[in-house]
Amino acid sequence: MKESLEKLKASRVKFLFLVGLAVLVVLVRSFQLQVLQYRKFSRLAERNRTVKFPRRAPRGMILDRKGRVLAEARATFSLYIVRGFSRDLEKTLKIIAPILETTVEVLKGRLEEQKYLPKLQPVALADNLSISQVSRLEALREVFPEILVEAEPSRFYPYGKLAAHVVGYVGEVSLGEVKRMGLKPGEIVGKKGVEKEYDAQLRGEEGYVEVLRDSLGNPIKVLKEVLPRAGRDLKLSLDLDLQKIAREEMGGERGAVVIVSPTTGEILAMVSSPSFDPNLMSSRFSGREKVKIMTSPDKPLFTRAIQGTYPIGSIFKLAVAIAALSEGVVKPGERLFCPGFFPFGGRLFRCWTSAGHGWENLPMAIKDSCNVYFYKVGKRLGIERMVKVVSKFPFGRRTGVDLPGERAGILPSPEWKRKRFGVDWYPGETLSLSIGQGYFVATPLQVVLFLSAIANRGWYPIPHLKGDIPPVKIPTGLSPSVFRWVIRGMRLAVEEGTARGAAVPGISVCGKTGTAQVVRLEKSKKIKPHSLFAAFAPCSNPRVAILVLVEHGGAGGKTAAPMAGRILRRIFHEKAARNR
Amino acid sequence: MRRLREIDKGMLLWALSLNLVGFVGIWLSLGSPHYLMGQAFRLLLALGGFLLFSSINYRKLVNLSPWLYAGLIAVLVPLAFRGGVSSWLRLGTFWFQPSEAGKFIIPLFLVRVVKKRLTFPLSLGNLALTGAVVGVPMVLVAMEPDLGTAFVYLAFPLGLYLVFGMKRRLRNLLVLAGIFLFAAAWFFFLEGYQKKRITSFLNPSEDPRGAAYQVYQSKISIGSGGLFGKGLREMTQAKLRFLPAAHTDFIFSVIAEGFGFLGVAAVLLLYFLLFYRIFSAVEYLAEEEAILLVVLLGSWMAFQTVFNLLIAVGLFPVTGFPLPLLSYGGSNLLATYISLGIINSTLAWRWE
Repeated sequence: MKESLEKLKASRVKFLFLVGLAVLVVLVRSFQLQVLQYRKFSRLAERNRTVKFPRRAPRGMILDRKGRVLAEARATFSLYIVRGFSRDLEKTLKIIAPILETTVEVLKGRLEEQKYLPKLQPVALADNLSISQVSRLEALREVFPEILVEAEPSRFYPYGKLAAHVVGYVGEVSLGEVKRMGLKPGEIVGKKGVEKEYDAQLRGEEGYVEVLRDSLGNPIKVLKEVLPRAGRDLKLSLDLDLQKIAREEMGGERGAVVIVSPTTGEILAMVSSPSFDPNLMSSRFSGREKVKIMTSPDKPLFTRAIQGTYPIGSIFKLAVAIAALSEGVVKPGERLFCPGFFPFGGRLFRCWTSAGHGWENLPMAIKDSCNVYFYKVGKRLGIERMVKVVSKFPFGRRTGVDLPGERAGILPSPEWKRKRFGVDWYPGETLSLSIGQGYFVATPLQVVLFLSAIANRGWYPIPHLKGDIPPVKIPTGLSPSVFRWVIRGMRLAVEEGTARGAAVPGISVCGKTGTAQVVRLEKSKKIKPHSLFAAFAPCSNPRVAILVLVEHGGAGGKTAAPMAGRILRRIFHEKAARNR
Repeated sequence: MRRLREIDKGMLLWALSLNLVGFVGIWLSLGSPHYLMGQAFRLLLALGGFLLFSSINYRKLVNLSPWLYAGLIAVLVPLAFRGGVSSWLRLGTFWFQPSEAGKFIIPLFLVRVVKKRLTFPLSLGNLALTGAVVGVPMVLVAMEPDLGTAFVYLAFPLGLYLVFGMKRRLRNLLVLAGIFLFAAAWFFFLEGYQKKRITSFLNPSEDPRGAAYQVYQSKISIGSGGLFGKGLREMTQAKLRFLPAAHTDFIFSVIAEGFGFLGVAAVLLLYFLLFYRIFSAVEYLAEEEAILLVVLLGSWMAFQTVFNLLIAVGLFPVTGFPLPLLSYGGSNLLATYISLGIINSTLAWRWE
């Protein structure tokens, strides 16, 4: 009995040993967590309690030359999801999908796109919420702390389609742009037009609020707030009145109208048709409407005025005429005979009228757009001299307009052909080029600048959309006297030649039609040529240079010239009416 | 009343010191004096229980224990079969967890049943007897379901094993049976969330916001406390409710966040001192019955304390039970002070 009592008492050592051991284990473990891994857990606790919400900077307004608002920032409500707060994201999406009138799959896809964002960075799920959507989502916040409804400035384009290609649209910064431009994921940047070109000026600087939160995501207090810096406004050279006129006259056709001030390079109107609604494109979400725009066979997002490269037909004859006069291969008054055809290299090159034009000098040939005259001049000139002079105009290179995505077009030469195709230049190709056929292509903007060079008798400006900047003149080095005869021919063309449809009562218009043959692979399909007309007015004191291009519009004199006439008449007469 | 003079003042001092730490922890995690008032009231009640049980001759309690045990089972049975999650019983205006009473009733009854029958080392018969006495309430409590408290009941057989030892073969057999029982429980008995606690402990990345979330946040709380703690104002984990059950099961993490490693060391020292006093009490006792009683009562308190701490520091799967003397709440506090009272009774009545 005594012995067993001692044994019982002795067992206390075992208990004390075990308790001591356990206390030691906990102590060592606490040391590990609190001292050795302190930095890690301290950071985790910090990340637990603070969350940064971006404060969007309102983008600067885009205004036309008279201060009319083309793009502005409006306050709208957007839905964000903070994935880090979510306990069952799938369930949340299931509940909010009907409110947003979409499906769970669409929302999931959206989250999937943004999965590279940190877990606590809010991800935008919808914007432009209606008041009823806002109230229903706010009500859900009690149960789903990951739901966040934020009022923030979003982009609005009051004129919609009217100047969509010029103004452009905005969108969420892409991953590539984040790295290249040093931006934060989720920021809104310009994606097209001047929105993109002048993004740095328009964007401003995003701010943020750092909020202390509890485990339910409820904000407790604001730790730090950096206010956003609003973007600066951008005033354009664009004249909305002219833009409207050009747009209306273009109607449902595909093509482009570009109107510039030939002396300053200000772009007054730039229509690319068909157009798109930039309000739809600026949504951060690939809605059905957006997809429709992006996949349309009419390519509405394609800025035909600076990205479309077209053969320009007889308008090129003006360049050949200038080259011929400048190189002295023909005298202005020298008459050449057009029997309706021109035999060369065992082939018959035809004029556009089989009856022929008879004896014609240079202004007459421009007026009638006589092919044979220019075959003969071109043959005298030769390809090398032709290219030498034409390359003084903005062909085959970018004009430097302040819009992204401009194309250079092609000014062909024997050297270019060898490089491109590895084949020599055929003499017959010189003849084709003399009337604007062959490899030569140019953008509508390039053609307008070429017209400006003629209007200015030897120099052209760098075109620009930004308003109130001093003009930059690019000289061609050609003698002003060379242009006199060409201008006379263009005036005759409008007064009594191929471009009579472009005449404006009381205003002298100098113009030239172009009918551009379109080569298509499927020969069976008969397609109409592109219809072009280029002009400046008034002839003696040019205030506007214009190019009208209607894709597959037929003869230049039939479609483009009358359209340009309507535009010019409205420009000058509505302006006169306003001034009275 | 003269018996009260025999109270181990050291033991009471360390226990009250821990209560004080607990008050600070509750205040830090709930941030309202309202809760402190309630807790102070519960402490007074518990101290009343302590004084009452200190002055009652423990032999009387042991003799009375069959009735107490029967009463315990009678209360636990309806709770176990009532369905739903309920371990609470209403007593007047108080809510009480009867399973907590088991923590001192089971030792009393165990001592009464096994005294003079236990041998060195434990025989199979001893084991069967112990297993039956502990097992019945344990299963009932587990069925409530309150796995945490049922788990703490394991302290009693473990305590007896430490005292008496066991033949190696018998022990191995028991370990095997334990594994078998665990497997059976896994497939037939455990609820989904209970299994998840175990799997997420073994593989924390499985479910960072679910079962492992508590441990994860507990570790952040403790770790971010650093060497000196964040101080009373800078606490974020508990105050912003990142730490679930901060004022109850995870109060240790709150203290660790507020007072750092130094605070942790102080709390651990207090616990060690308390258990040193408890188990050292055995030295003064001359009666087998009294020694066993002290050891068994000490066992559950030490067992519950140690495992609560191991859970808080992420070394054991989450099983919900409070930290004795520190956590918010009354049932466990009362059970603890009654147990301490019975221990003091063995000291006070040791000469008779």
